[in-house]
Amino acid sequence: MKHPLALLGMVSALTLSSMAWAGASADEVEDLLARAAAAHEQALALEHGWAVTEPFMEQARQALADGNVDAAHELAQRALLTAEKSVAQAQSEAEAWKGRVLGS
Amino acid sequence: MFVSGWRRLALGGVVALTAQVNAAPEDDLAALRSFYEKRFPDIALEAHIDGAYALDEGKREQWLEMEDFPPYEIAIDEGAELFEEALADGSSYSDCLGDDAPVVKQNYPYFDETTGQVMTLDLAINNCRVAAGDEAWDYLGPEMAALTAFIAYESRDEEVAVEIPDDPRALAAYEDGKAFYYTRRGQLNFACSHCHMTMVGNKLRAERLSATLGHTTHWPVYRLKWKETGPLHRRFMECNSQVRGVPLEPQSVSYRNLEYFLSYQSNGLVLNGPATRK
Ligand code: HEC
Repeated sequence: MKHPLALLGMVSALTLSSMAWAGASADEVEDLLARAAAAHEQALALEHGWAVTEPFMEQARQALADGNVDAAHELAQRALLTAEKSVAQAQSEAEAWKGRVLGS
Repeated sequence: MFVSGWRRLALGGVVALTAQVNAAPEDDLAALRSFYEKRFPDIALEAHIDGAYALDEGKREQWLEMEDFPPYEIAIDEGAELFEEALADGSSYSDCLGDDAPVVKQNYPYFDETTGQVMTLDLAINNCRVAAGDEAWDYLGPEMAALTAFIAYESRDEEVAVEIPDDPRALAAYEDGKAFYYTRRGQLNFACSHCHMTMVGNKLRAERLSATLGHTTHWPVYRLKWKETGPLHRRFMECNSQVRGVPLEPQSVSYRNLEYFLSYQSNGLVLNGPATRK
Protein backbone atom coordinates (compact mmCIF):
# COMPACT_ATOMS: atom_id res chain seq x y z
CA MET A 1 0.00 0.00 0.00
CA LYS A 2 3.05 2.22 0.21
CA HIS A 3 3.34 2.76 -3.47
CA PRO A 4 -0.10 4.19 -4.33
CA LEU A 5 0.12 6.57 -1.39
CA ALA A 6 3.42 7.93 -2.59
CA LEU A 7 1.92 8.33 -6.02
CA LEU A 8 -0.99 10.23 -4.54
CA GLY A 9 1.48 12.52 -2.81
CA MET A 10 3.27 13.17 -6.04
CA VAL A 11 0.08 13.93 -7.88
CA SER A 12 -1.02 16.47 -5.31
CA ALA A 13 2.41 18.08 -5.33
CA LEU A 14 2.16 18.34 -9.09
CA THR A 15 -1.32 19.78 -8.86
CA LEU A 16 -0.15 22.36 -6.39
CA SER A 17 2.76 23.46 -8.49
CA SER A 18 0.71 23.56 -11.68
CA MET A 19 -1.84 25.66 -9.84
CA ALA A 20 0.92 28.04 -8.93
CA TRP A 21 1.82 28.16 -12.59
CA ALA A 22 -1.67 28.63 -13.92
CA GLY A 23 -2.75 31.21 -11.45
CA ALA A 24 -0.15 33.25 -9.60
CA SER A 25 -1.42 35.23 -6.69
CA ALA A 26 -0.99 38.93 -6.27
CA ASP A 27 0.90 38.22 -3.06
CA GLU A 28 3.44 36.17 -4.95
CA VAL A 29 3.92 39.00 -7.41
CA GLU A 30 4.41 41.48 -4.59
CA ASP A 31 6.94 39.17 -3.03
CA LEU A 32 8.88 38.82 -6.29
CA LEU A 33 8.79 42.58 -6.78
CA ALA A 34 10.08 43.23 -3.27
CA ARG A 35 12.97 40.83 -3.88
CA ALA A 36 13.67 42.38 -7.29
CA ALA A 37 13.67 45.87 -5.80
CA ALA A 38 16.06 44.82 -3.03
CA ALA A 39 18.47 43.17 -5.51
CA HIS A 40 18.26 46.18 -7.82
CA GLU A 41 19.07 48.51 -4.91
CA GLN A 42 22.08 46.39 -4.15
CA ALA A 43 23.21 46.52 -7.80
CA LEU A 44 22.78 50.30 -7.87
CA ALA A 45 24.82 50.67 -4.71
CA LEU A 46 27.56 48.67 -6.44
CA GLU A 47 27.18 50.92 -9.53
CA HIS A 48 26.11 47.94 -11.60
CA GLY A 49 22.39 48.57 -12.08
CA TRP A 50 20.87 47.36 -15.34
CA ALA A 51 18.56 49.70 -17.16
CA VAL A 52 15.99 46.97 -17.89
CA THR A 53 15.23 46.08 -14.27
CA GLU A 54 13.26 49.20 -13.39
CA PRO A 55 11.00 49.02 -16.49
CA PHE A 56 10.25 45.33 -15.80
CA MET A 57 9.20 46.21 -12.25
CA GLU A 58 7.14 49.12 -13.55
CA GLN A 59 5.38 46.93 -16.12
CA ALA A 60 4.73 44.23 -13.52
CA ARG A 61 3.10 46.77 -11.20
CA GLN A 62 1.01 48.07 -14.08
CA ALA A 63 -0.11 44.56 -15.04
CA LEU A 64 -1.00 43.88 -11.43
CA ALA A 65 -3.00 47.09 -11.26
CA ASP A 66 -4.82 46.01 -14.43
CA GLY A 67 -5.70 42.71 -12.77
CA ASN A 68 -3.46 40.76 -15.14
CA VAL A 69 -1.79 38.70 -12.43
CA ASP A 70 -0.17 36.07 -14.68
CA ALA A 71 1.49 38.68 -16.86
CA ALA A 72 2.54 40.56 -13.72
CA HIS A 73 4.04 37.37 -12.33
CA GLU A 74 6.14 36.77 -15.41
CA LEU A 75 7.36 40.37 -15.54
CA ALA A 76 8.22 40.34 -11.84
CA GLN A 77 10.20 37.16 -12.37
CA ARG A 78 12.12 38.81 -15.19
CA ALA A 79 12.79 41.83 -13.01
CA LEU A 80 14.14 39.59 -10.27
CA LEU A 81 16.30 37.66 -12.74
CA THR A 82 17.90 40.77 -14.25
CA ALA A 83 18.40 42.31 -10.83
CA GLU A 84 20.11 39.16 -9.59
CA LYS A 85 22.25 38.95 -12.70
CA SER A 86 23.34 42.56 -12.28
CA VAL A 87 24.43 41.87 -8.71
CA ALA A 88 26.26 38.73 -9.86
CA GLN A 89 28.02 40.81 -12.52
CA ALA A 90 29.22 43.27 -9.88
CA GLN A 91 30.50 40.41 -7.76
CA SER A 92 32.35 38.55 -10.48
CA GLU A 93 33.74 41.77 -11.99
CA ALA A 94 35.28 42.78 -8.67
CA GLU A 95 38.17 40.50 -9.66
CA ALA A 96 37.60 39.73 -13.34
CA TRP A 97 38.50 43.23 -14.62
CA LYS A 98 42.10 42.68 -13.59
CA GLY A 99 42.53 40.05 -16.26
CA ARG A 100 41.72 42.63 -18.93
CA VAL A 101 44.34 45.20 -17.98
CA LEU A 102 46.78 45.80 -20.81
CA GLY A 103 50.09 44.15 -20.16
CA SER A 104 48.76 42.06 -17.29
CA MET B 1 58.53 60.85 -14.30
CA PHE B 2 55.24 62.03 -12.86
CA VAL B 3 54.99 59.57 -10.04
CA SER B 4 58.28 57.85 -9.75
CA GLY B 5 57.92 58.06 -5.98
CA TRP B 6 54.76 56.15 -5.39
CA ARG B 7 56.17 52.68 -5.59
CA ARG B 8 58.64 53.57 -2.93
CA LEU B 9 55.93 54.49 -0.45
CA ALA B 10 56.89 53.29 2.97
CA LEU B 11 53.86 51.05 3.26
CA GLY B 12 55.77 47.85 2.78
CA GLY B 13 53.95 44.70 1.83
CA VAL B 14 50.54 46.12 1.11
CA VAL B 15 51.67 48.40 -1.67
CA ALA B 16 54.08 45.82 -3.03
CA LEU B 17 51.20 43.37 -3.31
CA THR B 18 48.96 45.90 -5.06
CA ALA B 19 51.75 46.78 -7.44
CA GLN B 20 51.97 43.17 -8.53
CA VAL B 21 48.32 43.05 -9.51
CA ASN B 22 48.11 46.60 -10.79
CA ALA B 23 50.81 48.14 -12.93
CA ALA B 24 52.11 51.59 -12.08
CA PRO B 25 50.36 54.47 -13.88
CA GLU B 26 53.38 55.11 -16.09
CA ASP B 27 53.35 51.45 -17.15
CA ASP B 28 49.65 51.72 -18.01
CA LEU B 29 50.39 54.77 -20.12
CA ALA B 30 53.23 53.05 -21.96
CA ALA B 31 51.17 49.90 -22.55
CA LEU B 32 48.19 51.87 -23.86
CA ARG B 33 50.33 53.84 -26.27
CA SER B 34 52.09 50.82 -27.64
CA PHE B 35 48.73 49.10 -28.06
CA TYR B 36 47.37 51.89 -30.28
CA GLU B 37 50.67 52.24 -32.11
CA LYS B 38 50.53 48.58 -33.06
CA ARG B 39 46.84 48.72 -33.92
CA PHE B 40 47.20 51.88 -36.03
CA PRO B 41 50.79 51.98 -37.31
CA ASP B 42 49.93 54.77 -39.74
CA ILE B 43 48.26 57.06 -37.24
CA ALA B 44 50.32 59.34 -35.03
CA LEU B 45 49.41 59.03 -31.35
CA GLU B 46 48.70 62.77 -31.18
CA ALA B 47 46.05 62.39 -33.88
CA HIS B 48 43.74 60.52 -31.48
CA ILE B 49 42.68 63.79 -29.86
CA ASP B 50 40.22 63.98 -32.78
CA GLY B 51 38.64 60.70 -31.73
CA ALA B 52 36.87 58.71 -34.43
CA TYR B 53 37.83 61.36 -37.01
CA ALA B 54 41.45 60.29 -36.68
CA LEU B 55 40.45 56.82 -37.87
CA ASP B 56 37.98 57.52 -40.65
CA GLU B 57 38.99 59.61 -43.66
CA GLY B 58 35.44 60.09 -44.94
CA LYS B 59 34.02 61.17 -41.63
CA ARG B 60 37.01 63.44 -41.06
CA GLU B 61 36.22 65.43 -44.21
CA GLN B 62 32.64 66.05 -43.08
CA TRP B 63 33.84 66.92 -39.64
CA LEU B 64 36.42 69.45 -40.85
CA GLU B 65 33.68 71.16 -42.83
CA MET B 66 31.56 71.33 -39.72
CA GLU B 67 34.47 72.82 -37.78
CA ASP B 68 34.59 75.73 -40.26
CA PHE B 69 31.56 77.19 -38.51
CA PRO B 70 31.78 75.42 -35.19
CA PRO B 71 28.42 75.11 -33.44
CA TYR B 72 30.09 75.40 -30.02
CA GLU B 73 31.02 79.02 -30.72
CA ILE B 74 27.82 80.24 -29.07
CA ALA B 75 28.77 78.39 -25.90
CA ILE B 76 32.24 79.98 -25.94
CA ASP B 77 30.74 83.46 -26.27
CA GLU B 78 28.25 82.86 -23.50
CA GLY B 79 31.02 81.42 -21.37
CA ALA B 80 33.16 84.53 -21.90
CA GLU B 81 30.31 86.65 -20.56
CA LEU B 82 29.74 84.36 -17.59
CA PHE B 83 33.43 84.47 -16.81
CA GLU B 84 33.32 88.27 -16.52
CA GLU B 85 30.25 88.31 -14.29
CA ALA B 86 30.97 88.91 -10.61
CA LEU B 87 29.96 86.21 -8.16
CA ALA B 88 27.49 86.93 -5.36
CA ASP B 89 30.17 88.17 -2.95
CA GLY B 90 31.75 90.40 -5.59
CA SER B 91 34.67 88.08 -6.28
CA SER B 92 35.54 86.72 -9.72
CA TYR B 93 36.24 83.31 -11.18
CA SER B 94 39.86 84.40 -11.56
CA ASP B 95 40.06 85.06 -7.83
CA CYS B 96 38.89 81.51 -7.27
CA LEU B 97 40.48 79.55 -10.12
CA GLY B 98 43.84 81.30 -9.98
CA ASP B 99 45.75 84.06 -11.77
CA ASP B 100 46.08 82.07 -14.98
CA ALA B 101 42.32 81.77 -15.39
CA PRO B 102 40.78 81.31 -17.88
CA VAL B 103 43.82 79.30 -19.05
CA VAL B 104 43.44 76.61 -16.39
CA LYS B 105 42.01 73.53 -18.08
CA GLN B 106 45.47 71.95 -18.13
CA ASN B 107 45.48 71.94 -14.30
CA TYR B 108 42.53 69.52 -14.13
CA PRO B 109 41.77 66.92 -13.03
CA TYR B 110 44.05 66.85 -10.04
CA PHE B 111 44.10 65.04 -6.74
CA ASP B 112 42.98 67.36 -3.97
CA GLU B 113 44.80 66.43 -0.80
CA THR B 114 42.39 68.32 1.46
CA THR B 115 39.26 66.48 0.34
CA GLY B 116 41.12 63.30 -0.58
CA GLN B 117 39.23 63.32 -3.88
CA VAL B 118 39.75 64.05 -7.54
CA MET B 119 39.03 67.67 -8.44
CA THR B 120 37.67 68.32 -11.90
CA LEU B 121 37.22 71.70 -13.56
CA ASP B 122 33.43 71.43 -13.36
CA LEU B 123 33.50 70.63 -9.67
CA ALA B 124 35.99 73.44 -9.02
CA ILE B 125 33.68 75.91 -10.78
CA ASN B 126 30.73 74.89 -8.64
CA ASN B 127 32.87 75.03 -5.52
CA CYS B 128 33.82 78.61 -6.45
CA ARG B 129 30.17 79.48 -6.90
CA VAL B 130 29.01 77.96 -3.65
CA ALA B 131 31.90 79.49 -1.68
CA ALA B 132 30.92 82.90 -3.06
CA GLY B 133 27.28 82.44 -2.04
CA ASP B 134 25.96 81.49 -5.48
CA GLU B 135 23.98 78.42 -6.36
CA ALA B 136 25.77 75.46 -7.87
CA TRP B 137 25.02 74.93 -11.55
CA ASP B 138 23.51 71.79 -13.00
CA TYR B 139 26.45 69.75 -14.30
CA LEU B 140 24.53 68.97 -17.46
CA GLY B 141 23.13 72.47 -17.88
CA PRO B 142 23.92 75.26 -20.35
CA GLU B 143 25.82 77.56 -17.95
CA MET B 144 28.36 74.92 -16.97
CA ALA B 145 28.74 73.94 -20.64
CA ALA B 146 29.30 77.58 -21.62
CA LEU B 147 31.85 78.46 -18.95
CA THR B 148 33.84 75.25 -19.45
CA ALA B 149 33.70 75.80 -23.24
CA PHE B 150 35.23 79.25 -22.80
CA ILE B 151 37.91 77.94 -20.43
CA ALA B 152 38.66 75.02 -22.76
CA TYR B 153 38.96 77.38 -25.70
CA GLU B 154 41.33 79.70 -23.85
CA SER B 155 43.37 76.67 -22.73
CA ARG B 156 43.82 75.24 -26.22
CA ASP B 157 47.29 73.93 -27.01
CA GLU B 158 48.22 73.58 -23.35
CA GLU B 159 49.52 70.12 -22.55
CA VAL B 160 47.76 67.49 -20.49
CA ALA B 161 49.97 66.87 -17.47
CA VAL B 162 48.00 64.94 -14.88
CA GLU B 163 50.00 64.02 -11.81
CA ILE B 164 49.46 61.24 -9.34
CA PRO B 165 51.02 62.71 -6.21
CA ASP B 166 52.89 60.66 -3.69
CA ASP B 167 49.76 59.93 -1.67
CA PRO B 168 48.20 56.47 -1.43
CA ARG B 169 44.72 58.01 -1.73
CA ALA B 170 45.65 59.51 -5.10
CA LEU B 171 46.84 56.17 -6.37
CA ALA B 172 43.69 54.55 -5.02
CA ALA B 173 41.57 57.08 -6.96
CA TYR B 174 43.55 56.31 -10.11
CA GLU B 175 43.19 52.55 -9.57
CA ASP B 176 39.48 52.96 -9.00
CA GLY B 177 39.14 54.77 -12.33
CA LYS B 178 41.18 52.06 -13.97
CA ALA B 179 38.92 49.36 -12.50
CA PHE B 180 35.89 51.22 -13.79
CA TYR B 181 37.41 51.35 -17.26
CA TYR B 182 38.05 47.60 -17.41
CA THR B 183 34.86 46.48 -15.67
CA ARG B 184 31.97 44.93 -17.58
CA ARG B 185 28.70 46.74 -17.03
CA GLY B 186 25.10 46.65 -18.11
CA GLN B 187 22.97 43.91 -19.57
CA LEU B 188 25.18 43.84 -22.66
CA ASN B 189 28.12 43.07 -20.40
CA PHE B 190 30.75 45.35 -21.94
CA ALA B 191 33.65 47.21 -20.37
CA CYS B 192 34.90 50.53 -21.80
CA SER B 193 37.97 48.60 -22.88
CA HIS B 194 35.94 46.22 -25.05
CA CYS B 195 34.69 49.01 -27.27
CA HIS B 196 37.54 51.52 -27.14
CA MET B 197 40.44 49.02 -27.16
CA THR B 198 39.46 45.53 -28.27
CA MET B 199 37.09 46.79 -30.98
CA VAL B 200 38.71 50.18 -31.57
CA GLY B 201 38.50 51.32 -35.19
CA ASN B 202 35.61 48.97 -35.94
CA LYS B 203 32.15 50.22 -36.66
CA LEU B 204 29.37 49.93 -34.13
CA ARG B 205 26.21 50.61 -36.10
CA ALA B 206 27.10 53.81 -37.97
CA GLU B 207 29.85 54.88 -35.58
CA ARG B 208 33.58 54.29 -35.71
CA LEU B 209 34.94 53.37 -32.28
CA SER B 210 37.58 55.83 -31.11
CA ALA B 211 40.71 55.22 -29.04
CA THR B 212 40.82 55.91 -25.32
CA LEU B 213 43.94 57.93 -25.89
CA GLY B 214 42.76 61.52 -26.36
CA HIS B 215 39.32 60.84 -24.91
CA THR B 216 39.54 63.71 -22.42
CA THR B 217 41.33 66.45 -24.38
CA HIS B 218 38.46 68.11 -26.23
CA TRP B 219 35.60 68.70 -23.79
CA PRO B 220 33.02 70.07 -23.62
CA VAL B 221 31.68 68.85 -26.97
CA TYR B 222 28.91 70.09 -29.19
CA ARG B 223 27.14 66.94 -30.31
CA LEU B 224 24.74 66.98 -33.21
CA LYS B 225 22.77 64.32 -31.39
CA TRP B 226 22.43 66.48 -28.26
CA LYS B 227 21.95 69.68 -30.29
CA GLU B 228 24.00 71.41 -27.60
CA THR B 229 27.36 71.51 -25.91
CA GLY B 230 27.81 69.03 -23.08
CA PRO B 231 30.43 67.60 -20.72
CA LEU B 232 32.57 64.48 -20.68
CA HIS B 233 30.49 62.94 -17.91
CA ARG B 234 27.41 63.11 -20.11
CA ARG B 235 29.33 60.97 -22.60
CA PHE B 236 30.21 58.54 -19.78
CA MET B 237 26.51 58.35 -18.96
CA GLU B 238 25.69 57.65 -22.57
CA CYS B 239 28.33 54.94 -22.91
CA ASN B 240 26.99 53.31 -19.73
CA SER B 241 23.43 53.52 -21.05
CA GLN B 242 24.49 52.12 -24.40
CA VAL B 243 25.30 48.80 -22.76
CA ARG B 244 21.97 49.02 -20.90
CA GLY B 245 23.50 49.95 -17.60
CA VAL B 246 22.09 52.56 -15.24
CA PRO B 247 24.36 55.60 -15.63
CA LEU B 248 25.91 57.28 -12.60
CA GLU B 249 25.49 60.91 -11.60
CA PRO B 250 27.73 63.41 -13.38
CA GLN B 251 30.65 64.34 -11.13
CA SER B 252 30.08 61.29 -8.94
CA VAL B 253 33.22 60.01 -7.26
CA SER B 254 33.49 57.09 -9.70
CA TYR B 255 33.15 59.26 -12.81
CA ARG B 256 35.73 61.69 -11.46
CA ASN B 257 38.11 58.80 -10.76
CA LEU B 258 37.47 57.54 -14.28
CA GLU B 259 38.28 60.99 -15.65
CA TYR B 260 41.48 60.98 -13.59
CA PHE B 261 42.57 57.64 -15.02
CA LEU B 262 41.64 58.55 -18.59
CA SER B 263 43.23 62.00 -18.46
CA TYR B 264 46.47 60.54 -17.17
CA GLN B 265 46.59 58.30 -20.26
CA SER B 266 46.46 61.46 -22.39
CA ASN B 267 49.44 63.09 -20.69
CA GLY B 268 51.59 64.99 -23.15
CA LEU B 269 48.77 65.49 -25.65
CA VAL B 270 47.45 68.99 -26.30
CA LEU B 271 44.08 70.29 -25.22
CA ASN B 272 41.78 70.89 -28.18
CA GLY B 273 38.41 71.70 -26.72
CA PRO B 274 35.72 72.47 -27.29
CA ALA B 275 35.07 70.17 -30.22
CA THR B 276 32.28 68.94 -32.44
CA ARG B 277 31.10 65.34 -32.59
CA LYS B 278 28.23 63.56 -34.24
C1 HEC C 1 29.24 49.27 -26.63
C2 HEC C 1 30.41 50.00 -26.96
C3 HEC C 1 30.87 51.10 -26.02
C4 HEC C 1 31.23 50.95 -24.71
C5 HEC C 1 31.18 49.71 -23.85
C6 HEC C 1 31.71 52.24 -24.30
N1 HEC C 1 31.64 53.13 -25.32
FE1 HEC C 1 32.36 55.00 -25.34
N2 HEC C 1 31.69 55.28 -27.21
C7 HEC C 1 31.04 54.33 -27.96
C8 HEC C 1 30.65 54.90 -29.23
C9 HEC C 1 29.92 54.18 -30.34
C10 HEC C 1 31.10 56.22 -29.21
C11 HEC C 1 30.97 57.26 -30.33
C12 HEC C 1 32.06 57.01 -31.36
C13 HEC C 1 33.41 57.24 -30.78
O1 HEC C 1 33.82 58.39 -30.64
O2 HEC C 1 34.09 56.25 -30.37
C14 HEC C 1 31.76 56.41 -27.94
C15 HEC C 1 32.36 57.61 -27.55
C16 HEC C 1 33.03 57.78 -26.37
C17 HEC C 1 33.70 59.00 -26.00
C18 HEC C 1 33.77 60.27 -26.82
C19 HEC C 1 34.91 60.24 -27.79
C20 HEC C 1 35.14 61.54 -28.47
O3 HEC C 1 36.01 61.59 -29.34
O4 HEC C 1 34.50 62.53 -28.15
C21 HEC C 1 34.23 58.79 -24.76
C22 HEC C 1 35.02 59.79 -23.95
C23 HEC C 1 33.89 57.45 -24.37
N3 HEC C 1 33.16 56.87 -25.37
C24 HEC C 1 34.24 56.89 -23.17
C25 HEC C 1 33.79 55.63 -22.75
C26 HEC C 1 34.01 55.13 -21.43
C27 HEC C 1 34.78 55.82 -20.34
C28 HEC C 1 33.39 53.91 -21.38
C29 HEC C 1 33.23 53.00 -20.20
C30 HEC C 1 32.50 53.57 -19.09
C31 HEC C 1 32.84 53.67 -22.69
N4 HEC C 1 33.09 54.74 -23.48
C32 HEC C 1 32.18 52.50 -23.04
C33 HEC C 1 30.82 53.02 -27.61
C34 HEC C 1 31.11 52.48 -26.39
